[in-house]
Amino acid sequence: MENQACSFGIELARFALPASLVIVGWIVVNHLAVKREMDKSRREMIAKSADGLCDAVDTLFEDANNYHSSERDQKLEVKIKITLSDLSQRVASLAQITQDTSKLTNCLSVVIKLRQAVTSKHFEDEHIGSLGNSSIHEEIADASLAMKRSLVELKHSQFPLPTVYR
Amino acid sequence: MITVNIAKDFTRYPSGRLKKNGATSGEGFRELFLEPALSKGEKVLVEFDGTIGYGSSFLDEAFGGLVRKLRIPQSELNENLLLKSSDPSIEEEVRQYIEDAYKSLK
Repeated sequence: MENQACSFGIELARFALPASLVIVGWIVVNHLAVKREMDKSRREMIAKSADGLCDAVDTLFEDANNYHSSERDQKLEVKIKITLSDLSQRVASLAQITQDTSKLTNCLSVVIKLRQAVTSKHFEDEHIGSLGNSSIHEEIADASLAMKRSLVELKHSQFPLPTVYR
Repeated sequence: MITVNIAKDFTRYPSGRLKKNGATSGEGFRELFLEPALSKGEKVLVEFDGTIGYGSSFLDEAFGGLVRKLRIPQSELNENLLLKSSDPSIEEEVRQYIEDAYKSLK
């Protein structure tokens, strides 16, 4: 009787052990695959957002230069402020899905420089008409380029080279 | 503590630096909401959300101008002026103007 029970236990173990190993292995592999897919989607989403933000910076650059080169246009002032607000909100919201916050912090400080370049002088009530050659245009160009550069760095940091290529 | 929501209590369209050029300017906001409370040592919470956006000239005149005009001790202003915005760049920019204004007073 005791022998029968013992051999049943051995038979059960012979079946159950490999089966449970297979199940545990499947759970681990599946978990890693899901994690990898989510990470890939997250990186792609950040890269896509960075591209969209670069396009918004291009539009802002054009609008800001037009604004400072023409007579005062109050509709354009509103558009510029909305674009700047949208830009900084979109950059800030990336904090929810970005792991490397240093690149994002840099983007946020460049957003401030961009807003200052466009709206701190000769804006709204201080607009005195078309500006010719002014340092404001240079400041806007510098800040726009810095913004795009920081966004490209943020995008590229999502896809680091594997160590074998370094 | 006084809470000032710029969009609800002042305007959704803050614009410009000086009030002689418009009622929604940084100077107008400062004189209407910030100066009366802060000069009496009251705490003020400024909420920035809900407007269409801010120009730097508005922010500089409202907050940097506050330091230049009232000359409140920095520690007192840091304690009494609280800022709230879902856009962290606004709060940081305002802090920069306050800091720059104190530097210009030295």
